[in-house]
Amino acid sequence: MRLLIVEDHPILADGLIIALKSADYAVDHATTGEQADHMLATQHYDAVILDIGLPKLDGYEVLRRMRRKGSKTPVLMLTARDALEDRVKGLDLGADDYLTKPYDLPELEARVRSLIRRGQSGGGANLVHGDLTLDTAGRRATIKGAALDLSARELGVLEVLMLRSGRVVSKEQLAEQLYGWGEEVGANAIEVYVHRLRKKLETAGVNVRTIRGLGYMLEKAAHE
Amino acid sequence: MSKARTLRTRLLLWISGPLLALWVISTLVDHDVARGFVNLNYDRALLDTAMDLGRNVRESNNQLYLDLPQPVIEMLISGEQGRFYYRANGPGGEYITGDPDLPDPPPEAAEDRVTYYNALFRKEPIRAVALRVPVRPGSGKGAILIQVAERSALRDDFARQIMLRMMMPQGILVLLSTLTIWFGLGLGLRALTSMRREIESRSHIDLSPIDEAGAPAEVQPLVRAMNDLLSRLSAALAAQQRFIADAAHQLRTPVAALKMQAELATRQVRDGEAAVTLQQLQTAADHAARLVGQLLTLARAEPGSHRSVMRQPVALMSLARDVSVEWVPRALARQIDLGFDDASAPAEISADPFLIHEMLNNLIDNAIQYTPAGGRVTVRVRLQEDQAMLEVEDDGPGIPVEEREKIFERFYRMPGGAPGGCGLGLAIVREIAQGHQATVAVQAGAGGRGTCVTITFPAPQ
Repeated sequence: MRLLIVEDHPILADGLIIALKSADYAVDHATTGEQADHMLATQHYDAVILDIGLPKLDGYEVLRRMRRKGSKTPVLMLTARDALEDRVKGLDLGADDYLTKPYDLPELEARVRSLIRRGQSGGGANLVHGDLTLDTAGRRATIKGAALDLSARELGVLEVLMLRSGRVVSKEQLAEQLYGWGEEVGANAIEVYVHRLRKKLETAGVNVRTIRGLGYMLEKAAHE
Repeated sequence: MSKARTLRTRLLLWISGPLLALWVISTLVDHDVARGFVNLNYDRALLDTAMDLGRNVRESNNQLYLDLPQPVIEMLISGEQGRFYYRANGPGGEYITGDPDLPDPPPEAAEDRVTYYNALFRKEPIRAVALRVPVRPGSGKGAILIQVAERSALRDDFARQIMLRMMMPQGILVLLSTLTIWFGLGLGLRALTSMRREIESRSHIDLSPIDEAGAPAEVQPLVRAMNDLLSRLSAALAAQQRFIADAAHQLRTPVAALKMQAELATRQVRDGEAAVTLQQLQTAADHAARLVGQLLTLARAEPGSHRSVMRQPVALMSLARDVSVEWVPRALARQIDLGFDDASAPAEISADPFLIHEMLNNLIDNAIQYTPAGGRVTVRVRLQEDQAMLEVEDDGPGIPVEEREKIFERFYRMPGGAPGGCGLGLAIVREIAQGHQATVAVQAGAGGRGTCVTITFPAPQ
């Protein structure tokens, strides 16, 4: 996994590089928009962490050029500015997620993880969560290599949860995902699928936590 | 406290005072005019009588006498009110007939045919006419002097009556004018009253100019001066806001760097004294990061901020859900069960979504800070009689009644409170609530445990 960090503040960039390298990502660093633009043109990245407040060529412009060239690389925006306006502008330009400075390191790491997973979801790549692996192309899940017996709907629920692991997934989002496969699914049905899935995942040390009134969350395994 | 006189009273005094003086002056003039007319009329009666008497003075044997029978004389000298006095004297001043003690006419008018004059007779003021009639025309024998007089008191009475009759309608006129002026002023000043109401009903964050067009021309300069002051005030406030916002904004990146490095350091050093030091460094960095964010929010929520009027319809329930979702990871990290009440009602409010988002951030942050591990925090949206209510409830230690007002003060921290707070969170909540005409209430949570903060928004109009 190769990431590009575009950040002009040297100490902040240094921290990001150390944190993400220790999470086993290959990390490149650009300090200006022009440099980032050049690097994005010559190298493939799995995700870009893009600061908005860059001198001259700012983050928005870098993002605009990326999307104009048809790049689908997921982008996490970092902003020190007004969260709402920046979010709207950034998301309109095609950013996948945003974080406001100052942020928690675990939060940043979780966002980067989910960003990369999202980038892979259409590509039939494997999703990994601790001992649990989901083959999105082969539509099967394994725990330490042993196949799990999951129905298509349970697999669908698991995929959404894994794509957004560490974050809350609402029942509506799950229903929408299953509806996308041509099935009308009620909130009660979702509860049933999650209940079954939770039982089958017990042995994997993976927990589907219920968040009161909000949905479900695939909890980060104890040691990841 | 001295009571300021209203403009209405002042104007009324300034107008009705001179009006009253004019009335008095006009009364005096009236009296004079009435007196003139009365004299003109009564003098003629006196002269007529004098002429009748003069025509009937005869000469016989060089003796002058009044050739009239007594009843005729009586008839001639009876005036409207009482009897006339009269006297006839010969050319040499010899007495012919009448009241012998009637005073002589003033000597300076001795040559005139007819003279009117005032005099005293038997200690009473009288009005008299003196008429000179020749004894025999062309005879050169000189003239007989006929005097007829009456008491002046009668005329004074009459003149006074005329004056009084003229005074009454004028007085009523003055009274009616005063009343008309009073009501007219009231109507005219209504523009000021409505302007006062408009200013009174303003919220303290509204520094927009007062409508100048509705004001009377005389008041427009005042309104303009006030608007000028308002605009300077709002510019000064905006400058201050901008400074705080800029400062907080500029601080974000270095604080982010500090925080990140501190977090990395705590990961790398897990044992020994350095680990404790680094842990504290991280806590301090977190604290600074939070403070910077809150200062920025406060700068936005305050009056003078260009943001304070960006209202739009906000779906409160879905916003509250979204914000709750954002906080779940941090709540779980502190082993707190953060949830959203399923029984919440969809409610729409007119608000600045950014500020409501920040308000929720601070309410949830606060609840998580002050609730011990294993506790529950619940976010809820209710509808009560068209009023949308946002609630964040926890089952933590609760807030003593005497602290419940203070916690909304800036930089106030409850004794023995959590170390992470900087005392701005709830100040921000209140500031934002006030900006939306919403009220903030703090009570104990369900079953008397913990704390429940309720924001009640005004019903849509």
